[in-house]
Amino acid sequence: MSILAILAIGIHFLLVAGEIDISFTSVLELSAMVAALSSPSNTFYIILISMLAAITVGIINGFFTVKVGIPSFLVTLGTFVGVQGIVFLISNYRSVLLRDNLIPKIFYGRFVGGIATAVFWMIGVIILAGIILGYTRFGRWVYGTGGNERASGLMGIPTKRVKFTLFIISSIMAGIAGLIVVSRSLSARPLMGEAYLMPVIAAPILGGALLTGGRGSVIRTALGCLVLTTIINGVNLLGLEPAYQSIFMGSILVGALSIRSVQQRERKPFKEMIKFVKR
Amino acid sequence: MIRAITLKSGKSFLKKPAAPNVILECRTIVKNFDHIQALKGVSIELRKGEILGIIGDNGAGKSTLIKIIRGAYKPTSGEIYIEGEKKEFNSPRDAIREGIQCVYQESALVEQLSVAENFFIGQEPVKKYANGLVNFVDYKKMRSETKKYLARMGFHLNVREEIRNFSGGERQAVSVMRALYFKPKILLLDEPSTALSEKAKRKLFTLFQKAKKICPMIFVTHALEDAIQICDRLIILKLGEITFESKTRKGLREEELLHYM
Repeated sequence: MSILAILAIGIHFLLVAGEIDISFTSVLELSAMVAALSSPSNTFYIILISMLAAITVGIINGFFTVKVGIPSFLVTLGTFVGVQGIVFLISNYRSVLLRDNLIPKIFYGRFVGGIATAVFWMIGVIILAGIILGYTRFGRWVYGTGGNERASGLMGIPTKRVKFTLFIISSIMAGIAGLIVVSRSLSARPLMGEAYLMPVIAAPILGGALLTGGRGSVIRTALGCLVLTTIINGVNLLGLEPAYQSIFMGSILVGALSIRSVQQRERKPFKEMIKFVKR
Repeated sequence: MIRAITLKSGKSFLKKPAAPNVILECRTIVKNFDHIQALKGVSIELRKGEILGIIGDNGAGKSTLIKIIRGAYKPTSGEIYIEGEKKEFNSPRDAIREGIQCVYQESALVEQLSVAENFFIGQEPVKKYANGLVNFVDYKKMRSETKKYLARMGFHLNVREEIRNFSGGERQAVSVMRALYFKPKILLLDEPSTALSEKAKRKLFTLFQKAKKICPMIFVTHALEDAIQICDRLIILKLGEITFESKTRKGLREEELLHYM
């Protein structure tokens, strides 16, 4: 849940601004792999270059989307594949052990009541994201940019700078998630982030964020993560094949989007929507 | 007499005795787009307490001129003076900082945001904490100020409601009052009445007449009738040049102006 939620918050920011980033799984792998490859070394140095690698991808995504004007889906599809290739190359197609004692303690250690630090990272990220989006000017600008980019630009909001910053935030989240993943398994391997692709994009959408931008709540995205984690764990506990996870997740996402689509078309509250379905 | 003055910073400007009451002056504005000359040395003046109408057909250059004044385009050559001081705008934000607000044909509003949020979009009031290190948006002030200001102008709207739930006239009124709230030096009205019903248009024009005492306005339109109705002075643009400039007077008819367009 922690890794899923941290990644989903990064995507949530972009969805609210009307953009998307699908390169986060590769960024997660890159961050984890860079951390493992640069160990053993100074812990601070490992974290720094791991995060710098992640941020670089964010800058590339932001540059090509905002400055060059390529749709973010295509840009991040490109970086998704490209960075995955880089991870294969630098790892030589193998798992690499993390040789550092402090990083696992920082990102996946158990201190308070046996709860992994990753949970505290998740709570911190959710609270911070909630404050930024809900209570700061920048947050209002993110909603404005996603809701009506042209109007927001006319009103003096630096929409391009807002989007550029959000691609970097998304990559920072993926970088943190990468460090948590490598701390959990004490090794990094290519494709280790693949399983997060679907649930991370699904969680904000389940929580009410629109692909067209302008809407979304951090708390609801966190709840979306909770629902998806429950499904994943439920399937495991029931002893069902992992394939059922994908079937359930896919069905829930399509179901949620269908309900939203009807709601939007009708622009009426839930009760009215039920009437519409019965009709 | 015009005198060139060089400042210590190296910047120079031409000092000219400012005409009384002139708030905005555009001097010989030229704008080229590749091989097309959209504006061919247009000069205009906007005076205190007036509504200046800029009329022209599609492609006359009126929108280009407005975009230059509000900082969306940079002129190829020419100068802009506000209250006698030369200004250069690199973005709409620069123009807003200099007191230029604009109301557009499709009201520049964000559908998903509330009336109050739209009212303050881009210029949200903040509460400062920790010696100004942390700034949080002051929603309470946003709502109360919006409600108060709209009510003063005769509009009683639920400021918490999303703007998309209101009529075109109400939305445009919010746009105009938003612009006026920030006490602009100049208000640009870029075809603000095009998409409105006759009733909403009349209400809006009454608002403009009240508001011109607060700040002068430039009213851009291709509707002659509207311009004659509310403007104090008219300028007609044709293919990037001024073909007509005069005060509006009683009995001025559309037919008289049509051949200048």
